[in-house]
Amino acid sequence: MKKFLSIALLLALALSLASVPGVAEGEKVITAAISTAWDTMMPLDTTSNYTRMVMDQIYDRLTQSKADGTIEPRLASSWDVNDASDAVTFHLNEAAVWSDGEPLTADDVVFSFQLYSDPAINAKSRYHLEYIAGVDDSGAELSEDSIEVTADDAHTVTFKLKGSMYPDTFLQDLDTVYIIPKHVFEGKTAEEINAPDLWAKPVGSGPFIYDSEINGERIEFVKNANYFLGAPNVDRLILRVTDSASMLAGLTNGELDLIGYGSILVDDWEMAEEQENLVTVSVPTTSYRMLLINTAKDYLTQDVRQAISMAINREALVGIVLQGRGEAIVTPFSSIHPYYNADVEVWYNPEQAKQMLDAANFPYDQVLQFFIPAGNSIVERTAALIAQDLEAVGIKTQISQMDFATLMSDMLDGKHDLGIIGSGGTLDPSESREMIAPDSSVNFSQVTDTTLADLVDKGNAELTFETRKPIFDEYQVTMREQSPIAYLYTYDSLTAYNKRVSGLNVEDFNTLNWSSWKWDIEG
Amino acid sequence: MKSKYFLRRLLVAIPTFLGITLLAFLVLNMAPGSPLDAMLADPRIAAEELARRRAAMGLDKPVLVQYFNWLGQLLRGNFGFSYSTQRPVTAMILERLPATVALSASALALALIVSIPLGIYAAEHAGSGRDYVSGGISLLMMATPNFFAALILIYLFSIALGLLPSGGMYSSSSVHTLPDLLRHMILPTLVLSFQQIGGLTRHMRSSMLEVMSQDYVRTARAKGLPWRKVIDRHCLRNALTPIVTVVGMSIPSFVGGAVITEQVFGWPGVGTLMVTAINARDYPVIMGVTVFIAVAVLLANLLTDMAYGLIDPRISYQ
Repeated sequence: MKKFLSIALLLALALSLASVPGVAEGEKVITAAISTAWDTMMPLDTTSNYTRMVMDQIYDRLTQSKADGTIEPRLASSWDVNDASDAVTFHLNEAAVWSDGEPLTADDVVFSFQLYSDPAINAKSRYHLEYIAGVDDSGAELSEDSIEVTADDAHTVTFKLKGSMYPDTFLQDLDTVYIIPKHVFEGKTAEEINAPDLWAKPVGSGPFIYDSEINGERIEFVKNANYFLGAPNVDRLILRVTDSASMLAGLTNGELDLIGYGSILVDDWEMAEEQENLVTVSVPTTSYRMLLINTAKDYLTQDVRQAISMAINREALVGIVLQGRGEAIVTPFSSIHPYYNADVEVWYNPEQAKQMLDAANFPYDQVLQFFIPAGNSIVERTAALIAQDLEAVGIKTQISQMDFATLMSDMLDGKHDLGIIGSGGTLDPSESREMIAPDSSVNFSQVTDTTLADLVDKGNAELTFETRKPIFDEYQVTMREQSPIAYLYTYDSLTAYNKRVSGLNVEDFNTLNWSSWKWDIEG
Repeated sequence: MKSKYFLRRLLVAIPTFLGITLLAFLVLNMAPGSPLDAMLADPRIAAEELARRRAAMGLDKPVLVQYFNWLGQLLRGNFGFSYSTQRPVTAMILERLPATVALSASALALALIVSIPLGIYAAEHAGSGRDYVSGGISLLMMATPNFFAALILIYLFSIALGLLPSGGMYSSSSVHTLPDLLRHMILPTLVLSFQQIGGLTRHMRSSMLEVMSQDYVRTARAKGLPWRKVIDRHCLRNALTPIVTVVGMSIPSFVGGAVITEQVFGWPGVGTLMVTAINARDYPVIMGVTVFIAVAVLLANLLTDMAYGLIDPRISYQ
């Protein structure tokens, strides 16, 4: 017995002390955490931002966005919009080359967009092409290579749009379309392109070159010394899949250098701020949570929906659930949004809510079915507090937790009265249209009135910020009035990085802008 | 006789296996939410795109047709392709299997190394204070949820003492070494073995107590054999038979039971693959892992039966 224990203890001790991991001499390594693994190596076929962070190291896109909404050059050094605002011409960086040495030209850009728009190719991101002429609303080509993206010369590409539009909407939408090498994929069948083999050892033009991976645990890159925006400062970049619960531990003991995409748990935030080796940043974002209200239920009339929205103490949600790391909202726009209408104030008036419910003859014996996704403690706490607020005005609720796919399916079927989901949000003011448009595939609130969707379309048809702003102001007024959704709060991205790391633009990470070639780490 | 018995067992396993797959497939398809619903996490995916996907995945066909298509593929040794990654399911499982087997095997080995001596010790001192302490520790280990034990150990060994990594398989380096891998395995192995140690210690103790009260043990002691020898030669082997059953039955559960541990420690095993697949309603991967677990259960049952014969010559196969 003693012998057994001694051997076990000795073994554990030997392993913990004797083996200092080997580091290739002089190699500068940054390890960034991502809280969910990438789902594919095909840049076209993902809607996951975790996957996009992986793709962003390997491939390039024409432009990238900053948190304040400005557009930065990436593969395109500059761009012009024509007078009619229905065509955009990109001037590509002439120094761009593929990692196998081939030059990157306008033909690669044209080929990439043709591939994205080909319905035979698996491309979940295809909808980003919807504004370009020659494709349908899903981004699929109308006939073979009908998409109107043309190479004017070796380094100039023109995109013809379906009509005149606000150019930033198009540019912000395009920034997750990655350019892929024509010389690798040309002549391959759809079956070959949809299979993972051609993507497994990718030829890219991005700041890093794929090196290896342990599926579901990490992916490793080495620097692309020929990167046209400047060779990365670090030799190796490791993206490691790390559960949010153990992110802080990894950062504290130096295994992780920064959080690439994901957030420290709110409950860990105070402890994170106390760590001497870390810089902590609470970054306001456009990400929000909302309470969907099923407008198809006859007892959830506009007055009742307003009363529900008014009964929720959003400041308490932000203070208690988010520990102050967020902002109460009543429309999808928070105060950091350029289209924010400060006149549409967050409301909280339980007395008035009660009066409105009485006036609407609300059936108080009706128990509202309140659906929430399982596995997210923040959502669970949010739901519990909302249920308390509603109870205070006499509304009974029954909270049901379910996995995401079930939640989507049941809410599309209209089985819910109330439901909570989140959205990453963007600075595009029309971002929330899908949730309130009768023709949308995610019309969970079962909206049949087109007023809100029409307002978004009207705003989108205007070509300048000045002419768009009043329309989206009205959109916010109408949104609160109709209340098909009670928007709750935006939440900050709680990020931290080791003090040894520099050159980070953490405030832009949430807009999928990492600029990892600028990152550096002290030896 | 023996080979005939096992051949018969194998033949019985075939309809059992088919039944499991059919049931799993039907339940999966009856569950609310489809792979297409999971895609709605991005609200801008167009209805046309979803329709194209539905046809490409064969989800527009009746469930039984889908099942027989899948079974036909399986009989040809093809587990199909993941809806999410488009990769062959076999490759995805095989890639994750070593990590799960390494973690589960080391946790089981640790559990056996600790629990067998501890169970014997507790039985030898039954009713004493030492027995109560051992019983208390065992119960605590059984009652502690994996995620809680994981967070405590991470805080203790990783943050406070800085001795061990908090997660992952390797350190941040281009060089992946075996000692580095083993260092990363210590905490998840400890967590995964906790409940096993608790349970096995209790089983071992009661099994030993039962054997120790047998007449032949009393006779052996009356003959003047040293106590140690009685325990090692006469009690231990007999007391191990029920332990083999417990261990055999627990092997498949290691795959499922490792999910939480794998998740917290960022350990890329079959458990996390299954969770990701369920969330994405990635039917081919879910079915692939189900088949794999079903085979593991059937094989574990068979191996347990075979192990009985080795441990206890009184058992015969008919």
